[in-house]
Formats: sequence, structure tokens, C-alpha cells
Amino acid sequence: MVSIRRATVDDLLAMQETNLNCLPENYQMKYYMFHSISWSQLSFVAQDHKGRIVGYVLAKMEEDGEPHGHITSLAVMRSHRKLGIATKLMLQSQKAMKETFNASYVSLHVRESNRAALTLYRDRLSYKIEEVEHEYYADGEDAYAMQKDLSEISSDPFDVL
Amino acid sequence: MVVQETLQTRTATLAGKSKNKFRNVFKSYQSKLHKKAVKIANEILVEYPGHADTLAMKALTYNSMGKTEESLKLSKIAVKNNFSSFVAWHVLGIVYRSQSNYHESARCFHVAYTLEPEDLVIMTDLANIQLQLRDFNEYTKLRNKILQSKQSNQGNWLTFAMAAHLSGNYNKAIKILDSLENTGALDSDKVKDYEKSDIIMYKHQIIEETGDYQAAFDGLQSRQEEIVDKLTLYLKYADLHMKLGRFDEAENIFRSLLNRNPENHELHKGLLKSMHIIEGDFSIYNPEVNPEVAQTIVDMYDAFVEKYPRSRTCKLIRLNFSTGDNFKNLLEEYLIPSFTRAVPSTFKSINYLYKGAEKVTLIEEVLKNLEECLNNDNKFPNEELEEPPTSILFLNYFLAQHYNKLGNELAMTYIDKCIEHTPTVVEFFVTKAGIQKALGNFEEASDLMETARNMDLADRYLNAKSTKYLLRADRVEKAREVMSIYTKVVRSDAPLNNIFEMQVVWYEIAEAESYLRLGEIGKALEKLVNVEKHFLQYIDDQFDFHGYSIRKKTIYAYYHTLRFEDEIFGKGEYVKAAEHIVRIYLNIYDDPTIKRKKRTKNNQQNKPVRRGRGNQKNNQKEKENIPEKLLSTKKPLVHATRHLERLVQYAGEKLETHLLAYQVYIRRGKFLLSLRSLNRAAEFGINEEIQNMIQDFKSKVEGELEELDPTVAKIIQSEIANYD
Repeated sequence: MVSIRRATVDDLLAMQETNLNCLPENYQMKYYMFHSISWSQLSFVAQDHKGRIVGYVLAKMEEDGEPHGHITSLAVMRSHRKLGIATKLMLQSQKAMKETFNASYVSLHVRESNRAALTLYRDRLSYKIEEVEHEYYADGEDAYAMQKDLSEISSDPFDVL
Repeated sequence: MVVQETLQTRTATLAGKSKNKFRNVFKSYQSKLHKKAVKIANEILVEYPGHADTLAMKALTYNSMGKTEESLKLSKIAVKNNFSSFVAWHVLGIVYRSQSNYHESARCFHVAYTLEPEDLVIMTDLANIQLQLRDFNEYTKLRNKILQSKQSNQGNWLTFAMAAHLSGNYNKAIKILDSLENTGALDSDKVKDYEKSDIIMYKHQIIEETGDYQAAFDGLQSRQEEIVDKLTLYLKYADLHMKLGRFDEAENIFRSLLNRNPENHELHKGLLKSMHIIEGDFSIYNPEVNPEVAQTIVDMYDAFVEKYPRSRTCKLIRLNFSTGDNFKNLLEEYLIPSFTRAVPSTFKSINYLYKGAEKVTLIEEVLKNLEECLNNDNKFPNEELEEPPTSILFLNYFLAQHYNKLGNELAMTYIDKCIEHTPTVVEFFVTKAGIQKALGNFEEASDLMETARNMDLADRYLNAKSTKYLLRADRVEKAREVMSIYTKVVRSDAPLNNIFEMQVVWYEIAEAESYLRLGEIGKALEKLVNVEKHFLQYIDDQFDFHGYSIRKKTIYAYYHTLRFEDEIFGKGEYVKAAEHIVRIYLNIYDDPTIKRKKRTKNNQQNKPVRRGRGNQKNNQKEKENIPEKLLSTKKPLVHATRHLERLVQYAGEKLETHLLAYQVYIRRGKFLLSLRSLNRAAEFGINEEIQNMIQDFKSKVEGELEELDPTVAKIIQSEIANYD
């Protein structure tokens, strides 16, 4: 049974470890603290019954141009996939972006070859591909830069997501 | 003619051309034109040899260039050349700070401040160090002064308020924030609504901490429109309602918030508590409640499942509290679609249910029934259609994990069935590896996990799992090789740099544990001390946020970060590493010859590494020296104590902490501390180990009683008599 809740500063160390165990794109603790201090409302974690972090979304706001949200990193441990965790993490983060920061849209990058992620973003969450960023990833792979408009998210704090 | 260095040249006040040059040095430094800054500085030094302020600027530039040794050396000379130069002291403080020597830095900034008490930059630098060192009293005084000199800067108000708060002066902190608001500064267009919202939340956090929950609630409610972080606001309302005994209101809020996120277990727990269905320290994972309570919960959650059909949590809470046939039906309902859809994580999603023999029996009955149905006519109970071949496959996979959890050898039977049926599913090999690991067959487990990894090289999860299993099987070299696939290669001869840079603590500890099993104490210690370095880095990391958080006005989040930092040695894996470290240093103390033990395995496993010509020998030597160096320490107990004190402070609820504490303190002849540790350990129950410790203490203290202070001796004697 997995609980999905907002990330607190106490979760940062575990989030870092989950990230290291899931993705090749990693960050030092200071970067996690930077997110936690600047945009504490936007990151969420999935926690199992033993208190382990099995998934997270690390998100921020970008101030260049129109204020918009950005997904820095999203991962769910392989052992806990197909339980809808990633979708739920994303929905919570998107709601918070709109509510606290009045973000008009949210952006993210995804590997061209990542079919599972594309299904999640494009099909389940209605993100659109804006452009291809060539050799975006350190290993040279191209990325889809995707965006989702947040205008349909209501301002009711108790709305079902 | 060469100018001689004199007291005059060292302390001269520059004028004319030289003054302009000095300004240029500063400008170049600020623009990061380091070479230019040094060049101009050197020109000044020709005319004014040993000029303290110029040397200081040169040192500051070196510091930015990463020339740490030179910069420290030079800035010390600058101070020596002119003890009255606030510039020299300020720079020395900056250099110490960038080397994380906060105490020395504080000392220097303080001198600079005394020499130049109105310089805002010096004051800010000093204040930040004081905060880093948690010197709240001085910090508050200084923040007050900074505010007085520049009231237009909102950040100064916020930091002063926080200083008062951290000093425990809640009412003062609240007043300061009120004063800030009264200036009208927060109503300006420049202040974003989420910044203002954050400050309001922070103020009411302080009010709450005074214990006046009513005031905190009323305050928040009156400012509700201005608070944009609605989730935190309503969670806070619910929390305050509970504290004020207003359970109906709390219940309403929890119910509303469930709309937004029915997967948040804290909301469910809060709801059940507000309705007094559960009390005290309750876990929704623990079904041990009386039958009426269980039924109440099940009925409630029947409604929730209907209301939130996509919520797994609502279904699983209901399942957790169901019993008998109802439990079986609900479990079946939950499992059938998962098997049809071939979801590998099904077991993980419900393994919390395995509590108590009764539940396990029910689960097994359900599984057996499903198995029988599928074997008979390939249909699940109450289903019309025949199942695809994946259904029995994933039922078998579930059964393998089920039996593994119960330590039943059928686990292996079932997983082998799965692999035979469809050997292309990675998860089957991962689970089989887990089964072997549970049986203690680490080599076989590792081989299987390697098989899994090779089936999907693009998945880092498998890479990490396999690395972990390789280390458990003590295949250290292979583990490094596998790990290196994902660690960025910074230098071609050192792919493992990245493990340190990216703070991969789990790996460092796992590798250390492998070395410990292999008898390579020094190598284990090398990895473990890295863990301490990371945690010291985390403490360092907060420093830049002292200024940043104030500029960004995210004071509420920043405050929580400071609190987190205060307890950081109790978080993450530090405790695990520290326990190993203390044990190792105890071993070194007891047997200093440990370093001289021949390391045979080490040489066998070293692969020749590609290096630049001529460097090979040196780097090899360097690599081998760290473990040796650590093992040859003359002060093992000093090191042990440093880690131990953190364990005592942050992991005092663990028996291990007090066992280790006893061992360290008794060797240091600290009888009272040894006794305290003994007492704490005994609280967990007096077993053979504790008995031995008591005897050990008695024998060690016997001869020493006369040497001790009579009061102390008396305390010891009366305490130890308790154990007779």
C-alpha cells in the first residue's frame, strides 16, 4: 500500500537515493535542497508501508518568460510500476503549480526512446510535444520537450484531480 | 630602485594612482577577471611591498581561482602585516569559510566587525556564519543591528524575526513580523503573492509554537485569502482543530482533502482519529483493532471506494480491516484484474497484509482457490471469459513471492515454473534472485540478478540491484564495473569519482560491508569515512541558502530546512555507517597491529588501470595509502567518540548505540558515561551480553574506585548495586 503525499525536507535524502536507483540523471543534495526551499509545494513522494520512498516527483517553477512549472525529475522504482503512482504524483504536482504559483503551463523533457514515459505524459496526462532537443541527454540521446496547459485545473482546493 | 618592505609599506593608506589600481583590482575580481586582478595587485605591491590590503585582495582572488593553499597562506600574511586592517581580517574569514572552517571564519569576521562596525557586508558575512554555527544570541543581536542600518530591505526584517524565533523568543519574532507588515512593504507590487503567503504561514508557525493554537488558527483564517498554498493551509487547519479538540471541523477538512488526494495515508489516519474510531499511535497498516472498530472502518471505506473508484488506498484500507469471507472476496476482487493485466507489482502492493497466521491462511485459501479455478477451466471465479495465458503466469509469480515471504521452499518451485513458461520476464529473475538471497545463497542470487540486468541494460534499477547483489556476494571488482556503467566518467582512470561526487551513500556502505566480510578493514573504513564527508557537505550546503532564502523570501521552507540540518546525523544512512566506523576504531584500538596484516586478496583483484605514463606507480601508492593511513591512526578513540556522540544524540532509541557507547567510554576510562550507557542498554532487557558488560564494568571500575571523586564513586557503587 503506497501513500502519496507532499515531499518534506526530511524526504530529500531518500529521494536522492531513489533517483540514483532509477535514473542516469542525478543531482547533488544541494540541488534537492534548492527545490525544497524555493518551491516546497511542488514535489511529492510515494511511500510504502515501511516508510521507504518508492517514487517521487521533483518539480520547480521557471521564471524565464511566462511563469511555468517544470518537472525536474520523476521516477518510480521498477518494483512498484503499473500501480498508477507516476500519474498520481504528476497530478498532485500540477495542481500545486497552478494553485500556489499560478503557473499557466508545465514543461518537461523525456527521452525519445522512453515509451512508458511517453504513454504517461502524452496519453494519460495530455502533454503535447513542442519540439525535439537534439542530444539533450548526457549520453547523446534526443529529448522531446513537452508541455501541458494548466488552465483547465480549477482553483477549488478540494477538486478531484 | 627596489622599494623595501616596511611597516609603512604594509599599512599605507593608498592614494592617487595606487588607490585607482586598488579599485581596479576589486573590480576585476568582481568581474571574475582573476588574472587581471592578480596582475594589478602585483603592480601595487612593487611600490608598497607587503601591503596588507593588496595581499588580501590577491588572496581573495586566489581563493576564487581554487588555489586554496596559496590563498590561505597569503591571507594570513596580510593579517600579520596589518592587524588593524579590516579588509585583511575579512578576507581571511572568507577564505576560512570557503574551506568550511566556520569557527575560524567567525573569529576573523568578528575582528573585522570590531574594526569596522558599520560595514554591512562584514555584518552580513558574520551573521551568516553565526547562523551556520547556531550561535543564536549573537546572531539575533547582529541581525537587529543590520535591520537598523537598512530597514528598507525586507530580508533584514525576516532574518531578524527568524533570529528571535530561533533564540526561543517567539513573541519578539511575531512582533517583528507584525512591524514589517505594518510598514506596508509586503503590499507592494514587487512582492509576489506566494512570497507574502509564505511569510504569513511562517508567522503563524511561530504563533503555533507558543502553544496558542487558537490564535494561530484565527490568524490564519483571517488571512485565508492571502495564503496561496492551500494544501498546507488546510492541513494546518485540520491539525489545529485536532489540537483544539474540534474534531467535527477536523473531520470535515480531512474529508474535503481526500477529494484532492485519496492516496494520502496521513489524511485517512487523521480522519479516523478525528472521528475517534482510532486513538493514539495508530497505524492503518495494522489491522489489530477490536471487531466493532474493524467493521466501522470497512463500512466507511465501502463508501469511499464507491466515491473514489480510482483510489487504490481506499480499497486497500478496506481490505486491511476486513475479516473472514469478506476479506477473501475483496482480496479476490483485487487480485483478479491484476493477474489478467499481468501486473508484476501486485504482491508489493499488498504484502502489508501479511500480519498474523489467520490472515496468511485466508490469503493462501484465496490463492489456492484461484489456482484451482484456472487449472480446471482457465477461468477465474465468477468470470465468464477464459483467461489469457498471462493470468496463470502472474498468479504463479504472485505465489512465488507469497511463499518466499513465508520462507516456504515452494517459492522456488513456483518461480521456476514462471521462468520455464516465459523466460523473457525480467521480474521473474529479480524475484528468483531475491529468493536465493533469502536462502543465503548470495553467489547464485548474484548470478540471477546479473541475468536480469542483462535483459534490460537501459534500466538503472536493475543495474543498482545487481551492483547491490554483487557486493553482497563480495564480488567487489565486478560490482564496480557494473556500477561504472552509469556513473559519469570524469577522468578516464577514475570512473568511481562519480560515486563520491554524486553522494551514492548506499554504495559506499554496501562496498564497505563487503570489505569487512573480506577482512579488508582499511578499505572498508576508507569508504565509510566518505559517508561522513557527505553529511558534512550537507551541513555545508545550507550556507548559501542563508542569503538565498531571504532574497527569495521563502522563510517558511527555509526554517524547516534549518531544523532538518540540526538533526541531519540522525537521517539517512549516517547511523548505519557510524556504527560500522565505531566498531572498526574499537578494533584498531584493541589491536594496533591490524594495519600490518597482509592483504592478500587485495592484490589478486586489482586490474591494471590505464593511466598516463609515469603516473602509474604514484597513483597506485596514493590509492593504497588511504586505508593504511586510516588504520594507523594514533587516535582511534577520538575518531570513534566523534561518531559515537552523534549516535547517542540522534540514535538514542537503538540498543546498538548504547552497546557501542559502553565499549568506547570504558576504554577511555569514563566510568560515569560507561555506566550511563550500561543503564540505557539495560533498559532494553538484561540478556547475556548485558550481563557480561556488567561484569566487565565491575572488574574495570573495582581498582579505580579509590582514585575517583568520592561522590562519583558513591554514585557508581549504588547504581551498580541495582544489578545484583
